[in-house]
Amino acid sequence: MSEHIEKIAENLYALTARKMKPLIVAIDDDNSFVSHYGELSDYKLPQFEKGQSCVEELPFLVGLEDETYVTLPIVNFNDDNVSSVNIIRINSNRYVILLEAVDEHQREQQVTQSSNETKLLYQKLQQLTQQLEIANQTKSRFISGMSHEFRTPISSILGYSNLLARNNSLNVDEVQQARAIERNAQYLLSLIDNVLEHAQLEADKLTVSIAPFLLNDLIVNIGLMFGSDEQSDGLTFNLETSESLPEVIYSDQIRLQQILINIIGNAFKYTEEGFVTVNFDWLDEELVVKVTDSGPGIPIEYQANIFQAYSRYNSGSKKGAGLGLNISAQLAEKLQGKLELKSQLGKGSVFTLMLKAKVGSSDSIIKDIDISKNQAKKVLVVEDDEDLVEILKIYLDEYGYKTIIADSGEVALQKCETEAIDLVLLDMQLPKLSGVEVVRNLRSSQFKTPIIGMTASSNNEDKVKALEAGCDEFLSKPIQHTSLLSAINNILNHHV
Amino acid sequence: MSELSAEAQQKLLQLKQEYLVSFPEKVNQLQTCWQNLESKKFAANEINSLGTLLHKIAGSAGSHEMYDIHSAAHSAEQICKSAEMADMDSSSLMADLKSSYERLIELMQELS
Amino acid sequence: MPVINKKICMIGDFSVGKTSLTARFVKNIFSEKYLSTVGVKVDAKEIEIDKQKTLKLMVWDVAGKDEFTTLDDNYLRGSSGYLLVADGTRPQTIETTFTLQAHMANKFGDIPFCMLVNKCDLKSNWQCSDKEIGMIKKKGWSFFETSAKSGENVDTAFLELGRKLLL
Repeated sequence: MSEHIEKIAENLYALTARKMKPLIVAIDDDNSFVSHYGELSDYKLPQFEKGQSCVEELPFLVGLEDETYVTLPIVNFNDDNVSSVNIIRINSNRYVILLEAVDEHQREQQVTQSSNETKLLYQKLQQLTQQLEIANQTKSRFISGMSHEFRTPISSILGYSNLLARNNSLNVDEVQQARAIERNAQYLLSLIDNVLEHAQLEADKLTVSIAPFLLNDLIVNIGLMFGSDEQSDGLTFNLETSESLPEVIYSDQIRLQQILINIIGNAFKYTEEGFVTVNFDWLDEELVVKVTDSGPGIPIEYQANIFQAYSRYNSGSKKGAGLGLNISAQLAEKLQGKLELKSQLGKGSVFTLMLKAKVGSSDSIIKDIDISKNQAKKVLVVEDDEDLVEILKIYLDEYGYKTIIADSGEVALQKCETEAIDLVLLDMQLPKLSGVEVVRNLRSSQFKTPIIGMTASSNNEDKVKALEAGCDEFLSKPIQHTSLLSAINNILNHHV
Repeated sequence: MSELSAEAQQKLLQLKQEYLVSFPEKVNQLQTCWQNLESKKFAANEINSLGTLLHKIAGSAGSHEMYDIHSAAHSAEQICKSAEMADMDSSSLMADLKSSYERLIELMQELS
Repeated sequence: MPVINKKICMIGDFSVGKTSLTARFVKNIFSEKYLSTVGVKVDAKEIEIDKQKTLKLMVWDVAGKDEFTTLDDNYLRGSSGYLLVADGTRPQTIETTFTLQAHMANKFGDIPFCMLVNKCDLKSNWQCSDKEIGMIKKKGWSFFETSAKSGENVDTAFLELGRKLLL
């Protein structure tokens, strides 16, 4: 029995040995051949003569003359040879032990190759992502910058065309022409606003402010905006509200209004005769607003892309860059909602906005404000209109804020330096040092306190200027106490 | 509608009364501004002064929920802005501005 | 003229062109194909230094090192000098050379070396800023922008190292 095992073991060793092709080459300190054990031909080595230098055939020997023990796991030498190399010094000789490692080399090479290629791809991806981010930022900056460049001359065109239209010496046709210039300039301005907003949405820079507000305020605004004869232009405008509507909801009132103005505006734009109906409903904790029109409808092949940027269904000669619905859809998403379309050619369209919103109680706008906390908060009101200042003081006092007054930009800057202010309410239209200049001044000196800009109601340009200068929020004049307190509360809660 | 406390409402009412009492003075300011404007042939800085005054009236009137006065002052303010942007004097502009200004004076005098 | 044998190592991040530079120097060939080196590949080439000495360089092309792998010091033992190689299209490989140089100085002392920023034939794709190149030059290192593909500065770099070895 042991005989067999011995035989098997012998054969096994012989097999292993043959596979590994062991070669031992004894060399002296000058790297000259002394003797060998094994097959030199296994490594395509010549039959060395005693005293012959081995450096040519075993180039790895150079530099290791002084080493006592060296182990080199994988060495590729003389092109074809791949082996492990161990060098052991015993007395005056060194023994170079080679064991073939072709298979091991191949296995490791495959793994390393795969790993390195993956790492290279990842690094390339990171580089491209960085380049893309830079390009995107450059694009956004360009658009912001250019929008200002466009606005200034267009404002001038608006002004002149407005004057022209009022010129009594012009005939009817000429007045119409002047009005056409004015309308188109206004349209260009709104296009620029859209492009800028679209760029902000793409860059994910557009933020929403969720705060409680009275739904009725929004509905009344919509009614006022579209209910007059001038606005409805001969169409019947219906405003319907369900009894189940909550009094107060949490959302971004301004953005929600923006979405609705856009959809309803579109409905009016594309409907020649008949009606536009806006229906407000509350279903399963969702605000559902349906805008129905008796317009021409949208063919089914255009409906899939109707919310894409720059997508337009060209109905007649209606103008537009095709960004309004895209912006509205993106805003709806930001508000945890969605915008849908149902339409049939020749039978009008229904745009439905569905928005999940938390319900507030009629006291929630007040309940959200912890008066005891507010007593620690100081609000700097920068306003040169004394009458308005008195009103604002009453509002702020009601909710426990301490008011500090500055009647000019210069005084405001001083107060910001000397007092611990929690919030600034700033009129953007101050004499001498303007509101925009005050904000820029403060932000450039690392003033981090939140600033609410108060702007004239119809002036979108002022709003944009306010935000771009560094305001955190804006309020339109005339200021309603609910919107003032919502805005202040929202900002102060987020800036704790 | 979310209500202010009775105390705050009382204060606002009082403030509104005081605001109304200030109307004759405001009307006076407007009239003085207008006279300067006419005498200096609608020079740019006079238009600017009038615009600033109109802006204040529009703002405070609106906050006191006097929307007629707010609208009238706001319209007149917009005409001033157009004139400033266009940077020229024009008889039609003056006519429009005058008519808006007179409308505002009329409204404020009615309430004084 | 007697031949002086010296061992030099090519070290750097993976895929910077160590093998290509060696192939260009030893055999004057170039292949676009990328094959990862495992362990070490040893080649030899004779060069003449200042027409006075013949130097045989045993070039140890060591497998690339990145932040996840360690250099096997056994491969580096007995080196008389080394070439640090980085890839101009990947700035992180320059960081690796700084780490490697510090390691070599720590383990083997002040042995001569040259710094190569490879792939200068792809200059339009280079991500290395002037600031980074400036930092290398500021260290006072012998520095070459090389291309194994075109051969630019390859022999020059090896020759310069050879000269340093014989000082």
